[in-house]
Amino acid sequence: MMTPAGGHDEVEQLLGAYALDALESADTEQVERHIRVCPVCRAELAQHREVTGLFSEVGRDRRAAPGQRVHC
Amino acid sequence: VAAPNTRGLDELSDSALVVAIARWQQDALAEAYRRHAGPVYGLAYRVLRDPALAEEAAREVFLRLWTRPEHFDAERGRLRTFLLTLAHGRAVDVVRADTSRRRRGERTALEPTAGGLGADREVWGQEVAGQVRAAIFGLPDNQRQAIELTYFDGQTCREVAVALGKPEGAVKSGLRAGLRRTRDELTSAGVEL
Repeated sequence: MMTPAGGHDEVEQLLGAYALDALESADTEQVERHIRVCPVCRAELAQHREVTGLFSEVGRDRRAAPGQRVHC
Repeated sequence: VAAPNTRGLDELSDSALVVAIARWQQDALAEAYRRHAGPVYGLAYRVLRDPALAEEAAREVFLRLWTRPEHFDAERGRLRTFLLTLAHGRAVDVVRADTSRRRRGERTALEPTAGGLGADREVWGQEVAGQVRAAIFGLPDNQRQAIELTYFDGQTCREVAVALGKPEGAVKSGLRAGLRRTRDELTSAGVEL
């Protein structure tokens, strides 16, 4: 498969972080340039977004969940 | 005049609603708000932990839908997901602004891994919320913590790398792996994505 601009292998590693809005601006721009031309990464990103959309339904709260280790 | 229109609108699909919004139909925007404002506000509140800031973020999301409806592409996903994506991006921007950091105090810095997932809203139902929570808890610690710190606290990979004492590249690939694994878990549990 052809490799679109922006380094497909590098960008695909960033897609999870991008879906979580966790990238610095240079990485964000790299992902955005790449997904414009790469349907494979666009599709993966859409899948990550579906998952993060579900996260919004379970908020973080102050209770420690059963079995969860709380680190110091 | 609005009544028959409004009655028709609740039968429209989300995509058709966005088409109506693009034609400047205010009641279509009101219907989109009725359907999705709860989760949009809920997410903004979870990240911002401040009702006024969350309301402002939610308002901006719907204003953006009103002014730039063409940014929603029905082929790329659901309207709900699109709006939540906007809400998260907006909330995270606010978190990263200095004023908000001061407003939120030092809680995030002091409790990087405390807390958990809970306080679900009824929108998707308890069952799905429970499955999502279980899927996240099933992740390796580092992936779960990285997801919580980025998604709920608005931290960047760089900040998470410092908090967890991991290389930034490992955090990035861990987030991707964590989202994929969560998706697989949810799919096996029969959650519709």
